[in-house]
Amino acid sequence: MTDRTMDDQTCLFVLSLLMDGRDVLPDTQASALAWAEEHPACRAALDELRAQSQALASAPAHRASPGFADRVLAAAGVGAGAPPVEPVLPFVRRLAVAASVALVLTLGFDLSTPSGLHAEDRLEKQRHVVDHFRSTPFASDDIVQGLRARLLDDEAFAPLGGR
Amino acid sequence: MRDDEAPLVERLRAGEESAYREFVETYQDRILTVVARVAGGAGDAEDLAQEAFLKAFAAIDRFAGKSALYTWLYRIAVNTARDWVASRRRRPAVPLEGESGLIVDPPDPGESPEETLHRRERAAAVRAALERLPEPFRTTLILREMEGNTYEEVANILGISIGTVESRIFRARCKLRALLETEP
Repeated sequence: MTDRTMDDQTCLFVLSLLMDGRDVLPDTQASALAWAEEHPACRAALDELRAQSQALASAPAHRASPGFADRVLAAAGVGAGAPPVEPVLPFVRRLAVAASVALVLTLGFDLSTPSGLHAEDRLEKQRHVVDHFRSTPFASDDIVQGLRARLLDDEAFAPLGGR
Repeated sequence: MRDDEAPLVERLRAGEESAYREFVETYQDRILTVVARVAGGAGDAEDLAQEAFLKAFAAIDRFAGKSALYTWLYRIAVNTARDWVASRRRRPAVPLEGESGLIVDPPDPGESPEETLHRRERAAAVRAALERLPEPFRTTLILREMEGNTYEEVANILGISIGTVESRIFRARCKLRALLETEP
């Protein structure tokens, strides 16, 4: 006689636990097994869960490519003489730097095109752009120097500089 | 922490290059495997594994030794991959077996070629369905079924109760079965 509180779902839950070697109360285990004995659909569902488990367990492992350890150590700045890399270099930060550089270059380009502004006014505005960028949290000395060279000293902007 | 791990931990804390190399080379394949599985694709797996190792290096002074060194690293790797999944909010396709970096499942000597093919196709279908399983069911099932962790280990890694692990694994299995039934 089967337990009246048992149903397919409860039975399957108990059998799923047993499949993983979990401890189940003896009465509950007996009820689930009795239910499964009388309900072929429940047994079939358990067989499917078991097959799924086997399929997942057979998933191939991965193997690191040659030189992986060297790359990790280099990134950590260990033994390679390289400066340590932050464990997490946020993608957002890199994106923000790229966006800021693009914005500044675009502003610089706009200012470099004929617009009716006096050359000295435009040069002053470009200096302002560089100074403004320097005040952002994304600015590094290298980037600021690069922008300064690009906006103020580059040959492409010679007309603005009066050269 | 196991007693035999203490010298390695000390060397790591001292910044010895040989210790870092030993640490990476000992665990790289297992860490790469778990991040690839949790992240759902091999494309960024080495980047994620590298990030996990770098996090571990950075945090080695805070390793309290309450668990084995590998367990600690493994938890960092799983969380790194989960964070990546959460940030991407999409599922890359499952790489085909035999792709670069994957160790191909060898044929069973007792199987015919047709049986081997059928088994592999079935396994590939199950793993493809797994990729469509919503979180947190997907990661929980991976940690149990593919990684072979005990319920207690899964609870510890994910920071949830054993009861939650039990119900989540069961629901994940049922959802996976439903996904397979709806496949063409």
